Amino acid sequence: MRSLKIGDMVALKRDHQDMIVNRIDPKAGLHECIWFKGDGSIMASDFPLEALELSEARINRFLNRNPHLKRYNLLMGPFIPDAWDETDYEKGHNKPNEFSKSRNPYHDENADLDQQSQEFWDWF
Amino acid sequence: MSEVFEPGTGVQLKEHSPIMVFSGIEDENGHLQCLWHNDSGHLQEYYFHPEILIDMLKTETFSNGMLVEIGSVVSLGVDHWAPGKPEVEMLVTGLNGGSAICLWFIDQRCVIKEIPLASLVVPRQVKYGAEEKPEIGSNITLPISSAPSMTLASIDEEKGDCLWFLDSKDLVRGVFPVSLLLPVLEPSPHIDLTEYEDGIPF
Repeated sequence: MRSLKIGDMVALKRDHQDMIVNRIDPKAGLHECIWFKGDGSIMASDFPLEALELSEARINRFLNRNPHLKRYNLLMGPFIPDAWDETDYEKGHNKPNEFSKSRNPYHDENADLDQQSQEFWDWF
Repeated sequence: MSEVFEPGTGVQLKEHSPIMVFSGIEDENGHLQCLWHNDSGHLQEYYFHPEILIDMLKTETFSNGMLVEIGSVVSLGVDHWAPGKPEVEMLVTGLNGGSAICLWFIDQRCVIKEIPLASLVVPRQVKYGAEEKPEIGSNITLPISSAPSMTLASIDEEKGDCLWFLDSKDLVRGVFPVSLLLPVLEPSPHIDLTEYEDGIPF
């Protein structure tokens, strides 16, 4: 895994709570990650690099195990489009124009998207 | 001072987060102090790396030009912009350098925090203070919506010792500047108009 940088969206391995890297203490090897609870309160904790993975990597792993699902269909959840690397498109997971269609709440394939997104969450 | 954000700017994380206000304070690593209220009304404070913040709203959007002074009813400017979020009114009871000492109530318990002036706006300025000091034993309150009805137990120079009961029947005490205390208007005696005809008792 590459080293993390400020602003990376990460999760604990074996967990699905997305967190943002807000501070890095290179001496201690700790990454301060923050996330918000549903009531608007903030939570924060320090984690070593080994405990974390990029949320994006988590999605990739899931897609590798479930090749019938398309990446953009999972983005109906809390994921941020900016987090995706252009190279993902080149790998054929999806095309940018497909992605933008999927963000349209009135898109005809919504029911299908919801189901695929649900499969992703059930995976955890 | 941050080169990216002006004090008082409404900010948000690039990912979803509450709308927060940059207080103007930075820590030694250049992280910016942001303030907001959670859904319960508790003040939240955290230092964020500027790279993960985006500028949501400009300072001048909030300011109506009124200065924060003792007796001002203030709020975090961003509270006006958070959809569906009730504004938390706070009462300024003192000033300390670049900060205001603000109080408000959560579940009838008093919260007092020092908040940097740049984070605050004055949605309304109320003229406070009865011409006469309230009497000991009178029913008083403070001019913010969350304030409970209290009993004035004693006056020590300019401070009033106030008592009130919570719903749980715990007794709470707060000491507030007398000039900010307002009398609770007693309801008028109820008159059943059905007993009257043309204003004249039957």
